[in-house]
Amino acid sequence: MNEGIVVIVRSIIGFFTLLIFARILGKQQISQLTFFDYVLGITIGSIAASLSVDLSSRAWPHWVGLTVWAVIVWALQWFTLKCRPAAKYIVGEPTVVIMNGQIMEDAMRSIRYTLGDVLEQLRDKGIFDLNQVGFAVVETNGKVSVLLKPEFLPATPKDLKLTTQSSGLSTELIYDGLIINENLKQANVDKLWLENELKTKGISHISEVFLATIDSAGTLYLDTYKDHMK
Amino acid sequence: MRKVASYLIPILSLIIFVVIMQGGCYYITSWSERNIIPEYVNQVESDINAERWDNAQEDLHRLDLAWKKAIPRIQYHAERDAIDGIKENIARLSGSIEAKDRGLALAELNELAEHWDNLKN
Repeated sequence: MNEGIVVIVRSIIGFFTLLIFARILGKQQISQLTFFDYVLGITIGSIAASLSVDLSSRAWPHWVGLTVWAVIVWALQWFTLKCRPAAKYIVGEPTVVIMNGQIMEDAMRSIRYTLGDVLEQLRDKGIFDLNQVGFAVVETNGKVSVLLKPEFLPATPKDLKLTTQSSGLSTELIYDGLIINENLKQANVDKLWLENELKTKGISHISEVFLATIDSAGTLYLDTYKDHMK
Repeated sequence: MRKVASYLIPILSLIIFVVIMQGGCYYITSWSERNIIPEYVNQVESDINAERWDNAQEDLHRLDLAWKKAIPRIQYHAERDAIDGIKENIARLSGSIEAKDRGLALAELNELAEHWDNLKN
């Protein structure tokens, strides 16, 4: 038995199986994961690690275990999407811990959240005075969302009756010295226009550009490899 | 086409993985001519029962060669302990045949056959 080759083959199987399952299970970010999702991730990762290097047991049972866990997670995700009461039961519900400036002690006790935890999360959001807080909600992922009292909310252009323009999303035209032709068409510009724009900025060749983007107003952002930092 | 490929590639990959992991099981259970280990086990057993010790040693040597050829085919399927177990059985069997100890030789041979059967699971 060539252990090195067996580990290589089993690692490839484990890695790509995990990649496929992770893609199937969706795009939840780490910050959005609930505690249960986090534990599931660790368990699935641990099974994949055993599949890769634990030669004292066969690869097949580990792979079956990995598949079963992934299928159960996928089934729960599907079920919570289709059935709202089930979602509340499985994922949990957000809990209001401060309502109209009043701390909800019973609600905090029910989710085993201390005042220290709430104050820490408020400070993390730059709020050091409880008088400013209108509502605070502990989300299912354990993070606190805060709504300040109206008098402490930051002023918006609408409050100041200012007119604003939407800048929209910018599109990459050059990345790593190469033109992205698909994006040129999408932005309704051509290579000639882009080269002229570069010349006006003193750039003689596209290969000098690291990144070029264009926004919906047609404004070009350029970054070259040569950084003139002083 | 691109969408079909995005579904087809992971499905094909998973199928290939299953074949790699379970291919050894097919090799062990197949009746093809390549799968001669159970046949050699029977030959060695009849040699030991008839106390033809020289023949038993020769057949065991063939069994050992066949086993060494089989390892690369089953190594992705079988666990290391099972492979090592058979290797140890062959070594002890060789010693007991040399010592002309019929009881010990049959015990080792039966354990070897049991290990081989366990590889099918």
